[in-house]
Amino acid sequence: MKRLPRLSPVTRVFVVAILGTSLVHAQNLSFVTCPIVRDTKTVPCWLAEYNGEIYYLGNQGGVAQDFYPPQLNHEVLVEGTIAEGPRVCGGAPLRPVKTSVFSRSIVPAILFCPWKMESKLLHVHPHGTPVSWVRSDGPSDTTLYFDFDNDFLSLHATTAVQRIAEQFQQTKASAIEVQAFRGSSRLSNGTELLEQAGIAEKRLAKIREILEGLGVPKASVRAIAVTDVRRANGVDDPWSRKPHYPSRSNRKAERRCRAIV
Amino acid sequence: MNLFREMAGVLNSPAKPVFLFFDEWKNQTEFRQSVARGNDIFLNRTFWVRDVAHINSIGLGNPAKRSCAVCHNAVMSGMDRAPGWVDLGTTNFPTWTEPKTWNEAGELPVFKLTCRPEARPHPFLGRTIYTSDPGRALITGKCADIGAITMGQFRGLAARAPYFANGSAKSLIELVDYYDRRFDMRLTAQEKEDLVNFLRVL
Repeated sequence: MKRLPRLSPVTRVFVVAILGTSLVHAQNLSFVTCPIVRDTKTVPCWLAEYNGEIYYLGNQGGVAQDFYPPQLNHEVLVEGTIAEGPRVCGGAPLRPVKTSVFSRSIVPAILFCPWKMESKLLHVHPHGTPVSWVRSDGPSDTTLYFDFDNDFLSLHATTAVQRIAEQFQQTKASAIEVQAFRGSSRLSNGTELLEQAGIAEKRLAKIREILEGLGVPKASVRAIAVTDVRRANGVDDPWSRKPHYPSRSNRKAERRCRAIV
Repeated sequence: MNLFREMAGVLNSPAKPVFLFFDEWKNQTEFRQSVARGNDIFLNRTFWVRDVAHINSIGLGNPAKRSCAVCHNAVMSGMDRAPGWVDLGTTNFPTWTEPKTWNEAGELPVFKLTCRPEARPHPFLGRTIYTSDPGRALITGKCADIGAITMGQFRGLAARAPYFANGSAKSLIELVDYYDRRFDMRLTAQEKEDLVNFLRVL
């Protein structure tokens, strides 16, 4: 994880002002914190605290759901939008929300995440429509949105890769093109976080491994790692990935992996 | 079994329990009643599963409030349909099952494994790990796979002591005791006996 160069004081004031304005309207939040799990009468719910407010992230579920809970003792990047409606499990709901668990500390101020478990035994009801992190634009164009700084594939993403392999075999296509990207995220406090160098290659390798394991010949996989980093704006960092072929003159490096049969 | 044709995320559903319900046994002999209670604990008793690599690190959350059957989910075998490789902690410090190992009084060697700085660490043990069995990491070379092993199936379990990959549980009650300690299940003596009886009849 690399941090971008520090901004001059004047620039910093400007950035904060712009972000502050956008937050008021879009109610987007992006922050790194230690997650909290709260027991309930049904399933545990996951929360995160930021600037004195508790936010509801989602419930424990199965791997088939779109929300994957974070892990205690691990920092988590929360990127979400404050949703309207009642508090859930004691927290203001974020929807959509993407949580990315860090396997290493990226914020020097937080060296250890305490184990935060609470037993409130509240009734919790599902809130809102989950957001899918797999997007298909036609049968032969799929975009997978990864967690920040991670090459982990959810069940939905893995299933999507399987569908790509099936599509390849059924249509007797000549090749599968896989593009992988390296992204960034701008926190609500103005800090910009970059994904680790080489993350695009790791994502590619994982997709390749699965495709080849499903019988796609190695020579049929055209892998492209886009290493330029798309600059984050703090508003739609997890969702700003536009599914199009990046042209050489307008290449956008984004935090996604796209497979085109 | 084709994993992709199964209903995703439905593990141990009432329509497809891991093992058949033993409801008929609840009004029979004392032993059979015990087996039925053990099956109910196996299927339904939730506790906090924590720090299990490839369970708590694959999107289920850490900790996850689950029952035995969530991981031992394959119908009529009790194996794990996916991911299949799990690090329960039976071979790694500090949760291993052989407390004498570190004192060099045990029968198993202890390896100190140091992962490269750029490697993705084991999700709960970091990059320096003491283990008596590197597990799947011997195949993949991945730090995150240290200690990950496949679970055995449950059928005929009573005839296959000792248990765990390193044979560290000499009996079914030692196996149940390990889980009770590992996940703070707070089982009573009767509940442990019920679980043992349930495991004996599979």
